[in-house]
Amino acid sequence: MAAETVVITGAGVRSAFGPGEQRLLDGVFAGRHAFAPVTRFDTSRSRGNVAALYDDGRGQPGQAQVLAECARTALDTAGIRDVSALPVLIGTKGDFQGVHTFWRDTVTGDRPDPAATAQSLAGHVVEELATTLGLGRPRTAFTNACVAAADALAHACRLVRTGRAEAVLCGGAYLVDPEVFAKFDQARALSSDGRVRPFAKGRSGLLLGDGAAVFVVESARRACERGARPLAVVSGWALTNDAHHVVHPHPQGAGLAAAAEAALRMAGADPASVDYVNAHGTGTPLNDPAETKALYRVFGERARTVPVSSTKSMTGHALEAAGALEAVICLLALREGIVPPTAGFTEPDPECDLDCVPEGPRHLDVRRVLSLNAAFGGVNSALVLERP
Amino acid sequence: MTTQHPTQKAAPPAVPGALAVVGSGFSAVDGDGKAPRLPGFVASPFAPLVYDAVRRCLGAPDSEDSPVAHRGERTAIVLGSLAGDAVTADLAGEKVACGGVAEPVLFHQTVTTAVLGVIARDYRITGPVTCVSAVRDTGAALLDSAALLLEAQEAEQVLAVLVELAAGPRTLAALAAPTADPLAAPAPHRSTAVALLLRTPGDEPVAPRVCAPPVPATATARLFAYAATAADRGVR
Repeated sequence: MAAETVVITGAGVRSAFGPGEQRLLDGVFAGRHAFAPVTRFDTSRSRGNVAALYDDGRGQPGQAQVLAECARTALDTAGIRDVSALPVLIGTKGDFQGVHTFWRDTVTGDRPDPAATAQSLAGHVVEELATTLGLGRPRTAFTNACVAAADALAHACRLVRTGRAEAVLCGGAYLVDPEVFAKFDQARALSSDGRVRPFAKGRSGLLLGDGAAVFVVESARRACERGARPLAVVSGWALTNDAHHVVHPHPQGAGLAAAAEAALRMAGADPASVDYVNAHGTGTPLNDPAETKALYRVFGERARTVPVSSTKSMTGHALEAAGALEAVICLLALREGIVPPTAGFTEPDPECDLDCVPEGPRHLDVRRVLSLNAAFGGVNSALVLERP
Repeated sequence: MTTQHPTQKAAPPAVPGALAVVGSGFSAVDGDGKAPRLPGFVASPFAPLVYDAVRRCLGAPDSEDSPVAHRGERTAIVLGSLAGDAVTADLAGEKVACGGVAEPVLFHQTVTTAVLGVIARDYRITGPVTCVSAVRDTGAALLDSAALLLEAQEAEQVLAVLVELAAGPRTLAALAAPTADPLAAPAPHRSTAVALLLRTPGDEPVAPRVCAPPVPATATARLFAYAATAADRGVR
C-alpha cells in the first residue's frame, strides 16, 4: 500500500500571550515578548524571577484542562465531531504542580489533593484529557523532554502514513510550575537579565514559558473525502541522537543536522527549498553555536541567508510542549506569509553567523519550513511542514 | 540480584506477532536495597537500572560482538515508564517544599532522556530516541512505538527498555486517586528494568522470540516478565 500523505487539519494553542492563535500572532509575529516577573508562585528563594506566563485571574489551570481547550479548538477547526476512535498522543512530563502540592501539603500535615497528585504522572494527564473529550486509544504520553511534543507529532504522522490510523489527536503541554522553575534556577540555566537572546553575543540562558498546542493529524485522502481544508502538509520528520553527552549538545551539531537531513530526505525536499527555519534556539551559550554548525552542515553557505528565528525569545521555552507550540507558529508563518523575528537580539556572535531575523517580522512567501528541537541526552527532532 | 546471561536457551512465550526479540537484559534493586551504580547519577536507582539492563542486553559497550556495533545509526531507543524517575522528582520536590533548594545534580537526572544520552554515547547509537508512558499498559505503548519505528523503516532494530521504580508515597497516592483510571496498572512494588533488543522477524539470524503489537496487557506483561525471569534463570 502506498504511504499516505499526512496533513494537519486542526490546531488549537495556548501560549504565554493567552489562548488562541490570534494572541500568538499578535505577540510573536509582532516581535513582542511575554516575559514578566513571576507571580504564580513564590520565587523569593530563586536567583531568577522571570518567565513567560499567562494568567487570566481564574487561578492556574492544570495541563489536562488547557489541553482540552486546545483540543476542542483543533477538533472544531478540523470539523471532527465523532472522536471516539481518535488515538491521543501528548508530549508531557506530567503536571509537576502536582509534585509540588503533594510535598507542600505532606510537609505541612495537610492532605494532598488526590486529583492534582494523579496529574503528576504523565499518563494521567493524557488519560484525563481523553476521558474529558471521549477520545479513543491508544492514550500515550511522550516524556522525552524538549522533543516530546515533536515526537508525539512524528508518531502521529507515522500512524497515519503507514495506514495504522486515519486520524490522530496529538500535541504537548507545559505550564510553568515552582518545581521545574527551581531546578532550572539552581542549575543556573535561566537567563541572568530577564530576556532570552538567542544567537546574540552575551546570551546567558533560557527562560521558561507556558505552552500547549493540540493538532488533528490525518491522511490527505481522508481530509479530502471529508471536505476538510488542510492547514499544512507534514512531509518529513526525524529523530536522532548525538551519542555525545548526557546534557551538552554535540559541538558540531551532528545529531541535529542528521535529523534535519533525514526529515528533508523523507519530504523529498532540497535544503534550498526551505523558506524558514524555526530553530530550537534556547539562548544558552552551548546550544546556539552547535545549532548554527548544524544549519551550516545542512544548508552550506545558504545558512548565512536562510531566515532562522528562535521564537523562544518571545514565548519562553515550553519544554515538553515546545515542538507543538513552535509547530503552530510554523503553521501561522505558512498561512500569513510572515517570518517571526528573533527578539532580544543585541550584538552578533561570530559563532552564530545566521540571518536570525533580528529587525522584526519579515513578509515572505513561506512555502516550506523546518522546525528543530533538541533535548537533554542529545536527542534531536526535525519536522518539515509545507503549505498545502 | 542480577547475573550474567550469555545465551538464549529458554522457549519463548507463545505470543503471535511481528517483533523478534534478539536480546534481553534484566536488572533490579536487590533484597538489601542495593542498586547498580552509574557515575553521574545519584540517589535514585532509575538511571543505573536502565543502564545495567541495557548492558546485560547488549554486552559491553566496546564489544565488537554487540548487536549494535556498526548499526548505531539504524538503532532506535524507546524507554517506557509509568512514573519515570519518581525518586529523583520526589527528592527535589520535598526539598523545595521544605524551603530548601534542589541540588543541580538532580536537574539533569530528572529528565528521562539523560540516561539514554549516556547509553547512546557509550554504544554509539544515533537513531531515534523516544520515551513513552501510559496509565493502563506502558509496556504495550513501548512495544507499539518500537513496532511502528520498524514498520516505518526509521530503524532496523529497537532497544526497548521498560523501567519502574518501587512506588513511593506520591506514586501510590496518584494511582489510588478516585479520579484515576480503575484499569490503571498496579503500583510497582519492586524497582526493575528490562531491556529487549527488537527487530522485524526474518531480519536476524537467531531464532526470535515473537510478540505482536498492539498486544493486550497480559501479553505485554508476559513478554517482559519472560525476559525478566529468563534473566533470573541465567538466560539472555
